Amino acid sequence: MKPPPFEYYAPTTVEEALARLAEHGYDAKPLAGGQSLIPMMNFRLAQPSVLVDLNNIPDLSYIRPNEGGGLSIGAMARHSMVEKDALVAERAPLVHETMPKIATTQIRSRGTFGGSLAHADPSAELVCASVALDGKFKVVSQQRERWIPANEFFLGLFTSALEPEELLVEIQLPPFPKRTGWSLMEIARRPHDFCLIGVAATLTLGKKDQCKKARLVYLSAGDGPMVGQQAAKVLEGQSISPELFEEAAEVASSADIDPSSDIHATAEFRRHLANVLTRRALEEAYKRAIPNI
Amino acid sequence: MSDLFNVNVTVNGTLYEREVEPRILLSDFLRHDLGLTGTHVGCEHGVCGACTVLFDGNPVRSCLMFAVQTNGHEVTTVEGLGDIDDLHPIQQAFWEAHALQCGFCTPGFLTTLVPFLEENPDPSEEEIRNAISGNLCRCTGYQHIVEAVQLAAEKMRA
Amino acid sequence: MTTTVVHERIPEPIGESKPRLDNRKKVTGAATYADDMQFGSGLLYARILHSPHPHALIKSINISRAKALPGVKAVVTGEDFPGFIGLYLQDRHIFCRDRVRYVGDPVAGVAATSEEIAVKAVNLIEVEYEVLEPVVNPEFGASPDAPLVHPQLSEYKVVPFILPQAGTNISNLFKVRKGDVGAAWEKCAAIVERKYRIPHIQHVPIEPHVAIAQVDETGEVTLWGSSQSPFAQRNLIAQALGISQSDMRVVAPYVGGGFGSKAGVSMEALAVAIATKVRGRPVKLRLTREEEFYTAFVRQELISYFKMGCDKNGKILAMENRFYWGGGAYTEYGVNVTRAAGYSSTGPYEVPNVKTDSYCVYTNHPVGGPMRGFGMPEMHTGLEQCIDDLAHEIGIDPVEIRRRNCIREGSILVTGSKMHPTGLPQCIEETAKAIQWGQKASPSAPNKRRGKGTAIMWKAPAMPPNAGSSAWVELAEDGTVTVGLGGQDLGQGTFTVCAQMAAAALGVPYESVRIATPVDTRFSPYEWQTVASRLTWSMGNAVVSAAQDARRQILDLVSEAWGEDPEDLDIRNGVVVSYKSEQEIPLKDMVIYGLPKPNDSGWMGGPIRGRGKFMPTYVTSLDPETGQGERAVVHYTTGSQSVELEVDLDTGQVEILRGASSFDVGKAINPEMVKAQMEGGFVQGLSSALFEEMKMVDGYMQNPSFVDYRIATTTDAPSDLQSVIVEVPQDDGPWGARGIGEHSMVATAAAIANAIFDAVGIRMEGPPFSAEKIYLAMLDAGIVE
Repeated sequence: MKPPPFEYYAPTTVEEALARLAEHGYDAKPLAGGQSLIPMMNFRLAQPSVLVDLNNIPDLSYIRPNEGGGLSIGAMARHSMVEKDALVAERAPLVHETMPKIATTQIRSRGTFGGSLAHADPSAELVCASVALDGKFKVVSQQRERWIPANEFFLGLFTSALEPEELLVEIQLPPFPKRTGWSLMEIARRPHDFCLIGVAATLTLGKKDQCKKARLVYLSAGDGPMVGQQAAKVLEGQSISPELFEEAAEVASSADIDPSSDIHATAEFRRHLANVLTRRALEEAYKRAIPNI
Repeated sequence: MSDLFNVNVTVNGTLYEREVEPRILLSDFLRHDLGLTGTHVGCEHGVCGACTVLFDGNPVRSCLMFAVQTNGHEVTTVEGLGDIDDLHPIQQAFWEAHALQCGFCTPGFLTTLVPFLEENPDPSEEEIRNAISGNLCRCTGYQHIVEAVQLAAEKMRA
Repeated sequence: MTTTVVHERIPEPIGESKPRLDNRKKVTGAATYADDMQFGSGLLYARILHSPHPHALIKSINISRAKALPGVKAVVTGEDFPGFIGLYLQDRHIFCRDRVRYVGDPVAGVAATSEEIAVKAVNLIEVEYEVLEPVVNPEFGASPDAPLVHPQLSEYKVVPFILPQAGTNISNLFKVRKGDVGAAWEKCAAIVERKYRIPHIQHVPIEPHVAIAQVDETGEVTLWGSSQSPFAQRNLIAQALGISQSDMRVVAPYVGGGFGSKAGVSMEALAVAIATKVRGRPVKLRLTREEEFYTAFVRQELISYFKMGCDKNGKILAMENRFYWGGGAYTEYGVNVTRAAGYSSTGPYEVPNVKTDSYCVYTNHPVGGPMRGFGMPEMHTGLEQCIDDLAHEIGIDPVEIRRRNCIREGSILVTGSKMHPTGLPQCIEETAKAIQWGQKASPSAPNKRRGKGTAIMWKAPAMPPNAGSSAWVELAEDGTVTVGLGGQDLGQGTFTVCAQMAAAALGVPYESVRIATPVDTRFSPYEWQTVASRLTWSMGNAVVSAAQDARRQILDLVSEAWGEDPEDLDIRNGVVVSYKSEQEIPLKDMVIYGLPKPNDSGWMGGPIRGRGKFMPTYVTSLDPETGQGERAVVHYTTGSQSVELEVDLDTGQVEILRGASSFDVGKAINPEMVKAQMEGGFVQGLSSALFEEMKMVDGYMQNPSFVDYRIATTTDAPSDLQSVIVEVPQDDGPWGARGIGEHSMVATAAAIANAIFDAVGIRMEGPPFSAEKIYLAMLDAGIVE
């Protein structure tokens, strides 16, 4: 099947794109890499009447260092570009680890960093990684520019804080904290499938073996990126031990997430896997944090 | 019927000027408008990889792009990888190493592997398997394909 | 035996791993598949209105709005086509007439000037249904309480060896009564009873079905399609439309994978039927991937019960099996799966006392058709786990119990006939060796457990007793050879293998042989179907015989010209040579224009064309009450598969570390291609064991996309995959060859199940062995907390 007809615009500047979005409102959809939108259009699950193609706006494709050690990534930076970028590897090791786990080679050479986030799929790796890293998103419209913290950007299943006339143009990642380890783990039926459950984790150590800060954000665990808030409370301020990780895993998998059942797994099994992954991810993050001490 | 757009696209080294509806997928454009039927369509939802082509040198799924988006760009299909008398080493290796059966998925594997081998002249087996994990093959069990990639890498290094 | 080919030596290039004949087309993108064919601007696009209900009566159909849509050229329904269609049992109309029997059943068809208009028109067709209770479980379906899916079953036309049970949903019942099962149980030292459930899966060729049909003004039909069975399609569609087979032409270009789904007739008849209403214009029907999943053939589901017992030495004394095959809405082809499972129901074991009931049951699920293995993977998946359990019960090693019981030359088989020479015992040893059976390696992590498993198999070509093949061999001016045949290359490599055989039998270089493609029923010689792993053997025999015929004509001509005894002549590398006079003449100098007679007295000879055929003549019928008979099948290919894997105790995930296959192929005409079959089958079997299931809820498939129905990728296949060829010749196979295409996925799922048991001690009712199922089974068994 082919997508139904639509009006097509290919602006070359952000301003022009914003003008088109303002003009068409809810009827319009920005087209980034299209690796989620186009299959939905092929299935006719999505039938936007206007597409505003962002692929001709060179200004949106960049990776830049920020003062203080952070990073800015243009919304149209392709996954493959981020994957191979040395600065990302150095300053955002969690993102560097995440990139090859996103879909497949062919999808990564077309899909974009910002497109994946704007799509707000709770099973998307970058959605959870950006929350775990306390990223913030630059969102612009003809009227205004605003910065939305990652943990306020994702409102629900495929729903973000973006208004129809707004465009996500940049993602800022703060400096990766010192004495911090990271991990992104997923369990899927097959590698590269949408995962049954996944977690993006960071663990910051304080004095020697004390957990100063922990972020656990779960994929495919609810209507959005599910933050392990209760688990973080269990961890923070405590001395690292296998028992502590077990307790955090128990709390995260029972209290912090809200997975549902589908044809691939039951909610109960997803909770169990979240428990397993939490322990594994914390252990890996801890191991990676130690050399940073 | 929506408006037609002009597309000037270089495919396999030849510049084509065509008018297309924006909803026309790149896969259909290549197959129907340009008659390049070596690019195969297996699912039209971006999973099987049979329709993989090179877009400015990078492997993309041509069922997940609109033809109109190729304006001003370069596309390479399996037909552009090599001539029958001057095959690309990966084509040669698929030939010699029994890396195909029904052949329907083959163009997608070949186009995926060309840039991979350029970037990875001496890939490990794991790297090879990862590189082509986005291409479904129902016939071969992948074993002979992996062996062909190793053979091609050897040829290209020599 | 009919055409036993006896050769003192194995000539070139038999046994050589020649590169495939179709490589040049397939690596360059030049190979033309059905969807690549060009039909110009007159082409019409067809779409089908499918039943949205698993079971319902059609009360009315209103096509007037669809017909009125501009661009619509035809709208057809079951009213237009009263004929029946079906391979073994004619239980199907081309379009539904009064009743729909599965979600996807074709109710109406549209041809329009664009796909877009065709889709719109389909949506304008109004159908009123009276919804009926669906049958979704084959075991219940076989019971007297089940609603009838085909109330007219007893009126359907059927071949003699299929036995529908009037007034039930049972469209075939195959029974085995051998020895005295009841008396045997008392002598058993161990008995196990098990139940298994194998879900529907789909073939998933990467190329979806495509058919283009055109009916000319005189009513002659041409069908171009992605087809395993051009001749069967010609025969069955012509019958259904009431036209002559000679007025029905099927052209079959390259096929992008079949695995059985493109055998017999499925959607092709729809395209032809629609085309009859728009004479002169080609009509194209191409299935979307979603339609491919549930409107084309699927694999039957199976509920199986096994009871087997052995004496204290592990000698199997008795088996009692009940198979409920969920054949889906139409079992025109699937009825023979039931029969094949019946006459193979002991697996590759010699068992003196056997009772089997194999039921083909209508359900309101998609149409069960032939799929790689033709019932054998489904049956062996249970049977081979049961054998393992019996071994454990009696305290014998699983490989050892197979050694002690497996069929050998001369074994009395389940149907009473005698086993021909077989390399099965050697195959068992080969895979045991490859997998280092008996040696336990330590797992790669503390939370993992490692296990090994083995399963063995047998399978005969499932076909009518008299399925035939034919071939011709022609030579061109330059001495190159073209082989005409009617079987299809689906990727398995039959064209390459037949070219090798023709080269060897004729005495020409492999490189000078072509195959006349595409297969075209108007010009190609007859072939029953490309199924049953029968082409290397059956079509191969026909090709060899055609090449020998051509060779005879050539040698007769030369012997006359040279005044020599044909016995002294030979064809070597494309040149006729005399061992006596040492004269030589290249084929190119004589195969078209003949040779001059001496003294300018004229010419002799003429264009050379050899012809050959093959049909088995020795298969007998079986007693309908006991399943016993002289010879049930042409032969059995046998083999063994082993795997080593790891199970993650925390997550239930399985990783296949190593796989080994060994099959007795009689003679590997092209060893590398034989290995490629073993590898491809292993991974397809692995995929069916770990990932694949058509998730059916109340008759509706829940996962008809590649996102939700997963097949194995590179990273799922083990990097250590060994394939060992065993060669115990087939007495009537070309150079002893028999088939291997399907066999390579028959035992895989069972071997994986046995390895999981070895690793963590759990059994599951059936595949796919998902992480969740394994984890829950481990919980149940107390292996994890």
